[in-house]
Amino acid sequence: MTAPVDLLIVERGGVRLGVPAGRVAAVADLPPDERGAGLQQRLGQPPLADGERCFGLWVEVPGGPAVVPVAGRVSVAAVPAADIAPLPALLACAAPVAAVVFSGEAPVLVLDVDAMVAHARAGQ
Amino acid sequence: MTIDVMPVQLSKVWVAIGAMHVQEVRGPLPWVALPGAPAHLPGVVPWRGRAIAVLDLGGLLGVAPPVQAGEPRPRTLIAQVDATAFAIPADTVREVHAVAEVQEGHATQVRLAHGQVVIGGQVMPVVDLAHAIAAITRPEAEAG
Repeated sequence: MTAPVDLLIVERGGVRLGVPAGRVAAVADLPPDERGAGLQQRLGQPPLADGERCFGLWVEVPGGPAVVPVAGRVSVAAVPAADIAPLPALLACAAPVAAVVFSGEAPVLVLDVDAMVAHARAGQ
Repeated sequence: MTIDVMPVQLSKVWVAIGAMHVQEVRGPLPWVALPGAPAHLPGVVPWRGRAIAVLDLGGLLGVAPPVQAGEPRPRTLIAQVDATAFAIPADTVREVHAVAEVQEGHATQVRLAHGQVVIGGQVMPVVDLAHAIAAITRPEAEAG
């Protein structure tokens, strides 16, 4: 049995994205003019709906602090480290997804934080 | 000298792949779609505690409709090329056959086929999985 890893889970439209909670300094509601779901759109999810609730994920990356807006339901789950399966090298192009948690009926796509921020910035 | 091949049915088309690559044959295996993944490596499945890529061989060869997450095929072939394992959704898999030779013929018109064999009266193209993976990850190599 391996030590659990806390994942911050963002669930939207049946898709669950996970971010290592240790990399997230804060999560907070975003004001209307800062709402967005660009990262999720780039991962194939629909655009932000009117009135859809958004959160900002405050993370620290090599270029400095960054806020990534996300939409959906946010929770934290403790996942055994052994259940987090890194993607094979063959799928390195699937960034920012770096790993998958297969357990449970809804798998979690685990994001690499640095790549996630790069993707979010690229969409701005 | 004989060559061991495994007949695999992809939709209505049978192809033969080198048995040396086959690790396991399993039943229907649900897979997780990955946004941004190449069209013919659309997702991952768990295997031996890790994630391995799904290879849509039927779609790659142009002989079957693309695989869909949530609609697993009746069989899943776990294959390996060098150190890379992957899962191939298939409709039917038959036992390994030893064939005397790989011939030239009309079945080689299937993309990536490098010959054909006849097994049980069925003519089927022989597909090199290493070549198939290279066609996805290094399409310029295939073109060359």
